[in-house]
Amino acid sequence: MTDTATTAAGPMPAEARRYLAQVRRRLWALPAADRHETIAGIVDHIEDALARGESASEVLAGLGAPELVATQSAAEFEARTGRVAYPRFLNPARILQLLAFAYCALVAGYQLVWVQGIDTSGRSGGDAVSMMHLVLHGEVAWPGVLPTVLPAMVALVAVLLVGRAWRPGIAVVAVLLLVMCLSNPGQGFDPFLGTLLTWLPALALELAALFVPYRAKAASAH
Amino acid sequence: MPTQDEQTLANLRKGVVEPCLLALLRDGELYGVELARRLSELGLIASEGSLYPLLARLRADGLVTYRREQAKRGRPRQYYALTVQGRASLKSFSRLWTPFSRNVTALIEGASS
Repeated sequence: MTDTATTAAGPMPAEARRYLAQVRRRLWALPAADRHETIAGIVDHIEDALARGESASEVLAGLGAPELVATQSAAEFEARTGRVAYPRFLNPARILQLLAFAYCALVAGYQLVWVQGIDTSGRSGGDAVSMMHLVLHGEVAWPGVLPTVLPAMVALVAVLLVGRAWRPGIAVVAVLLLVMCLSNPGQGFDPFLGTLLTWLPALALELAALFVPYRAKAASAH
Repeated sequence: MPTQDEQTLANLRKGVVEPCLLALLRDGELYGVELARRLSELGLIASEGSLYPLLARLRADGLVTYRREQAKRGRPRQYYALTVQGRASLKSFSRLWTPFSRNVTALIEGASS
């Protein structure tokens, strides 16, 4: 059941669809199954009330503000699980994300500026080089630094996301890091570490962020 | 900021809305709008929309179940019903409620006179 369902009296009115979208947005922190069940109940309610001949604005006024539904949902989640529905910004998962970002930034910085490896491609005549050196000397076009800096950039965006984009953001970064890991194992820019070893710690941290419990215990746990 | 009365009412509802919902389902299944209207008329929920998070939790706790039924005409509709566990929970509440509420009423009325 979705909010695109039609009623006996025709398609769901725009204001009802807007209302449902607002409720859904405010329920972002709930597990998807809880959210869908609550929304499905409200969709049914709206359709039934409209079929009885009530106006959309009457029905929505009766349902109450989306905030009220969200508050009630959070309270019920708390009663059932003993944990708060809406995580604090700085929760265990986000701390792991921050560590992953810090690691990615260090790797990028190291490879861009400080790496002291022998350029095995021979482009710099066997000198110790950094990625910056190669770019500045035109030996590598600037998109060549993307594999080095992209993980840090994406991890930074993901760690700053709030609301319903937060959890999917972690998954996106994890997938990106997995691709990075597998892109050139054993042959990263850093001659000492392949891409697998280079990015594996960050991938592990992001995966841990996906699975670590991130909701604090409720103050009045049952 | 909620007024004192609103706050008091919210606290009172917390403990009784669940058994009252179960009691409404005692004599047979109802659909969402009916449940919402009855609870709202009785002043047990602040707004009809807050029924649905409650129903989701009661279902997760195994007290309420629901089924979709194709109506004779028109769209299918979702009916809510008590489970065995829900009936047991209601029975437990109603056994404790009468002496409990009598004590509270006696105390509160004694305090106001």
